[in-house]
Amino acid sequence: MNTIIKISLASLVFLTFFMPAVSFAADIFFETTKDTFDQHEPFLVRVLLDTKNVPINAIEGTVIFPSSFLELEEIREGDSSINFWIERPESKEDGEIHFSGITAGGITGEKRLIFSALFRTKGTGTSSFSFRSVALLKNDGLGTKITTKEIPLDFSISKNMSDIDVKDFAVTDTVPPEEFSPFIAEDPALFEGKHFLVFSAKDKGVGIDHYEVRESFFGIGGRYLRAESPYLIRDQSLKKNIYVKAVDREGNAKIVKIKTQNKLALLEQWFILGIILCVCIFVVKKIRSKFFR
Amino acid sequence: MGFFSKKHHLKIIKKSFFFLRKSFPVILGLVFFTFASANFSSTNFELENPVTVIEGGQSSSSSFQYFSNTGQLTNGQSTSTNFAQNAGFLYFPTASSPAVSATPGSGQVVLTWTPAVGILANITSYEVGISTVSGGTFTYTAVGNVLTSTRTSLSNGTTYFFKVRSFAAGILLSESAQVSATPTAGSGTGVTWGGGGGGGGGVGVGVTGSDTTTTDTGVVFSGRAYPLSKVSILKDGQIALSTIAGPDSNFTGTLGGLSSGEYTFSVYGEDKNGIRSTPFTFQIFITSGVTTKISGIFIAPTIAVDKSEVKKGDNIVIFGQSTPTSDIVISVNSEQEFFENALSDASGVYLHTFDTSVLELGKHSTKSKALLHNGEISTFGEAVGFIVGTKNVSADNTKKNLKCDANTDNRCNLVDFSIAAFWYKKKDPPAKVDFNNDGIVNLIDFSIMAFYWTG
Repeated sequence: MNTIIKISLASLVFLTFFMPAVSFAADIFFETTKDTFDQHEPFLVRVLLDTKNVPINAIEGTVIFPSSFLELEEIREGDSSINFWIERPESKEDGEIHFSGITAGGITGEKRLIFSALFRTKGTGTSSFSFRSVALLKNDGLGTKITTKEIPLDFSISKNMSDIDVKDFAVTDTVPPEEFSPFIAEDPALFEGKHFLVFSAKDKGVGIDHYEVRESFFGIGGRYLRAESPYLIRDQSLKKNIYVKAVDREGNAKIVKIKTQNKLALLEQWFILGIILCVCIFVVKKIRSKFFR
Repeated sequence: MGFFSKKHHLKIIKKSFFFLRKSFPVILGLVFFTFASANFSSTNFELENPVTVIEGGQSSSSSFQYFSNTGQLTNGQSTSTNFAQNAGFLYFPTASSPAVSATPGSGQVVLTWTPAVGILANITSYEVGISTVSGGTFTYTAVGNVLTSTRTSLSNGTTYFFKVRSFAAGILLSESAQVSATPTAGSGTGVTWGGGGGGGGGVGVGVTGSDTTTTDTGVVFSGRAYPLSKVSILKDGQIALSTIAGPDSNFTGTLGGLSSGEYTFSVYGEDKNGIRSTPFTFQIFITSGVTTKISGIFIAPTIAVDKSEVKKGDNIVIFGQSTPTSDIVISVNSEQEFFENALSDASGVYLHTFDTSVLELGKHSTKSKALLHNGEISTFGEAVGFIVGTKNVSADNTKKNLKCDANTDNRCNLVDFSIAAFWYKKKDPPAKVDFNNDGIVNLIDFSIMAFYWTG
């Protein structure tokens, strides 16, 4: 009996003096303007990061929300501190928003925005937002994982009916996306080694909605087609100009042109000029026959 | 017959024994608590037969800040997960100088700055200095351990100069370069900074008041790189601007056409050998219609070694480039960290010969930082590795050896990101995208990529 007490005491002393203190290097948390909402009330939840002065360059995780209490209306990542999304925040599973991305050089700060989500309440009661499997990696060139404190957020929905509309949370954005630089590349692993295009634009307002790509000779012809990066270039000879259009969620667009990589051969140039000339002659003849008959 | 009688001998022995018995604790103390250390020398001085004596009591706090003289039985650094102690002779804590941005408003200027990185110290507070004269006498105000401060009650149309200095437990460690801003009526008024701190959190960010100025929304960068070096500025991970530093290593660059919002800027330089510096990265909220100035960007020195493996006892040459005529502190990482000093020449080049006798066999690394005579201090740059072994192997410094260059174009950018993203969580990826060689492309590989990102 004495031995057991001695061992227990020794263990207690050891744990008290020698066990290292658990310290959380970074916090991930939610922020709303209030924690009690009316029924059918829309509200914005911001997913934020406090890096505790440790630069973090990669993040992944899942936000869990109660789908029985909330309807997800929209996810916004226009003003996110994340530079490039590996997996754009998206709700593929009911009650879950998964995300992963990187920021070159790392993020440091007390309230860095990862993304925000617009919800509308349904039903009444109490529930919470939480995180699952959040990984934060240090900007140290090794991908060192940082201990993370995942802070949930409780909220309640009252029986009162809300008269606030989702439109009240609409962001007015007339500014087109930022300038961006697409690249043409090739790699044996992608598209069987064919030329492809990569692009990524930022829109500080409502965020990027989609991209469109157009390939054309001399800027004539060709039409914009919806595209995702990486995009397989149709004209593998790279003799056409390529236009990449980034469109934000309000329809504002920024177009960036990549000049032709390989010049047309002289014969090809003459051929195209010949076609243009023929078309012009045809049009002129048509006009003359119509008006000077 | 002897000089003393046998009885007298016995008396002396007894007295000696008594003396020894009485002085034993003192001798024991001297044996255990006093010990000699290796000589310290340089071209200017030599400290012979130094002795370290234990003194002082126990000190502790929740975060462990301790500036005093203490000792232990061997020289060198003791570490744990919570603190590090450097025993032996006094080590002097330093910190990098913050880079400061100034955004003018009506009757106010919003200042944000990068964290000062303490070396042998944790930064505990900052002070903001203000002056109406360039380089003039600054009046400092303590603002606590924050990374942003708004100076109000300023006169519109007057140019103000600001400095930020960092402290560790009340000890001044570093000071920024000055940054100027001119408050203007109607410029960027009503910008709501939610969340406070953290370099401009940005809750509810938006221009809520009138914004009548027609000034282009942009940023003016200024700082120090290397003489005549190429300086690249990345905006949200993509190259937005390149400029060339002057012979004095100073550079400026202006980026216009920005929107109102949170931006991540990275600035890096390329030395005369094409070696890229560690990027200087910071986040800042850009206000619509206002030109924000970011001053005091001090790019860390580049570094290289002449041998990838050095025979123990032989010299290894550590060299690189920084600002001209600056003090270079070189850290050689080992079981004990060694701090060496060098001076960069008029072209910013520095070179230091390090004797590896003091290093144990195995892997080591070295890094450097620059100190200017005006008090500005850079952060430590990227560490370069070498092995202390049994033979000498020359280092191939012509290789750029970017860890994340999947398409071998000597850049780490969106193309490499796309190639790696193709293999994300897929089986049997090629080695060129599995940067940590663990057989899978996951978040760790993307973190490595983000560290080496060149845009």
